[in-house]
Amino acid sequence: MPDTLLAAAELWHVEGDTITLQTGLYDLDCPLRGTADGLRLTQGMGLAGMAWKVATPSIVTDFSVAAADRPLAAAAAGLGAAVLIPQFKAGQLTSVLVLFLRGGTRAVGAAELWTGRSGSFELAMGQAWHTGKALQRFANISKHVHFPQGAGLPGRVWENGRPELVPDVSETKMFLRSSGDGGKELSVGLGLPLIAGIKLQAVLLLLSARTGPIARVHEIWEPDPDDPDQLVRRQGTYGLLQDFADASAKLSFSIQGKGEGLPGRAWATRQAVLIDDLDHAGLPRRETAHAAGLTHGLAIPTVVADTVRSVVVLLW
Amino acid sequence: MSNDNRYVEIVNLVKAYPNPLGDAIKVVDGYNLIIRKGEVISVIGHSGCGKSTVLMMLAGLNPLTSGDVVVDGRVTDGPGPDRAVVFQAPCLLPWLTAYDNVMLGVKRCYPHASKSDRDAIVKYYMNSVGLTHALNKYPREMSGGMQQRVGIARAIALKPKVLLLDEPFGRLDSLTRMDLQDTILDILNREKITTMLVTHDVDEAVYMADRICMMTNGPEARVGQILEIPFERPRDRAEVMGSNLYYDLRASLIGFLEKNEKERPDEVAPTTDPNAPTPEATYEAQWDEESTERGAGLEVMAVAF
Repeated sequence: MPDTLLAAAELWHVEGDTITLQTGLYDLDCPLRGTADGLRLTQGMGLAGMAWKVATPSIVTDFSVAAADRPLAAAAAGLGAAVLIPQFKAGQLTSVLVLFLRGGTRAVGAAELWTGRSGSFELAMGQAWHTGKALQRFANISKHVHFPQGAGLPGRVWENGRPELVPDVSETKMFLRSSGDGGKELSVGLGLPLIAGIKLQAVLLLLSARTGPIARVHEIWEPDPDDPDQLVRRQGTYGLLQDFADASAKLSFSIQGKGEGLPGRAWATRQAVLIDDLDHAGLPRRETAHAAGLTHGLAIPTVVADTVRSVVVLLW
Repeated sequence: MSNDNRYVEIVNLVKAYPNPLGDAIKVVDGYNLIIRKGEVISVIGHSGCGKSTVLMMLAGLNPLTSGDVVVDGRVTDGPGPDRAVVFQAPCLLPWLTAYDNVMLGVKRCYPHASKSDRDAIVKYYMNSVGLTHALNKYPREMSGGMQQRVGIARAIALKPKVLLLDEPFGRLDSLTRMDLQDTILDILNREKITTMLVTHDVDEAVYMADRICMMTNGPEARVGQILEIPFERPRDRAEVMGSNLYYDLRASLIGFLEKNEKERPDEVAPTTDPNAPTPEATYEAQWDEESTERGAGLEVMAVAF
């Protein structure tokens, strides 16, 4: 089973003047497990508090900085970066999703935030983390690449205001940066619009290698045009999990009530949903998930003007 | 925000040709590009991808199927002296001398100037391209490189807002090509003319441009991505080519061309379900300037696009 780029994920919830851990997804032996239990962070404290304070997405690569909590645990977990994603409801920041990405000598992958610049009408790379020697040139060149609206993966995500999966960035002509030596290592790419209200804050790109995909299952769910109460799969990338792919092809999830399955729940709550026991979570695909060895599930909704437009589901 | 940042705006440009066997064929589809005042932008891509089509639409010499071209705040409608074109072939009138070929445009653009003023303008630009000695030569008496210099002088003498260069060095030998590249760069450094250069030559694109627009393969070609060339101006060829970054940028462009060469649209597996719902109309694709200005570590974003 490959090491996924996603090492762990946490959802922090704002309660009054503090932010606390609501749910965390960790491997059994992950040193981060349990370290955030009971932590009550104020604005600017720790990773979640920092994201809460600035209310914009960011990428943290230095876990030893004063603002980062649990530096020892992060180092022990072999983390390379954390992506901090604020989530909003009715214009207020209500929670912060933290994605921990695997570092170390064997890891190959990237997280990039593509943002606008004053005086420019294109996306340029803001904060970024690239790991793996093979991506050195890719990282160097990326600093000089810009995307107008509709161009490249970031430009398309910006234009559509919807997430997009690229099953193999090294193969598709739609991902031009992967040309050249560095990009050959890359495989699954995910572009995620990070939106506050109706305005785009940044486009997050997660890029992973064949040896370590972002997760083991990557999906995007959206309402069925013929039945808007049902979510159907728009895109899916499953690696070797063909049975799971087959089982997911014809599925749909209701968004009525509390919502069905991971996508339905994220749709109903309008915030990220993290489940660390797919086996017992009462989800429609639990048996196939169990057979595939999947235990963790993360659903990230794309919310525009308090209306969910799309849900990204990552399982590993 | 200063309007200068949007000196040339190419918005959702589409060029479609009728197809007797079915739907019109869109050669270019959804091409978006903003060019800043005084910027030199190279357009690079495979043969037939639509580079020259975009340039000709910008020149007003090829009608748009849809979309807009705005130059200095005005929507263009057909060709005009504010946009001068230099083609691969010099296209000089063979019965006129070099001087008279340049004077032809100067007369049209400066109808109220005195004869001596016009004469000064022609001689100034002929001198700019190093042809003071060849004013009275006919095209048949000049080499290809000299003819192209006349073509460049003719274009620049119009004092255009936008200079459009369609593979202007394509027929020249390497030495003449480099010489002429430097001549044009000297003029552009001095005159600050906003320029679009269509080229196949990777080295030329990197050396001459502030940014390189990499076009996807056609049909339905559009901007694939834009590469910023961070070398300071005025540029020194040896210095630029001695830089490690030059080779990284060059390798990236070559990789892009190789990748596009290998792939054809029908070989690319669709990544999106054909029945996917269309995006809702509520999304405005704007930057959240307010919140990002507060943000630590992120650069301040632009005002709403």
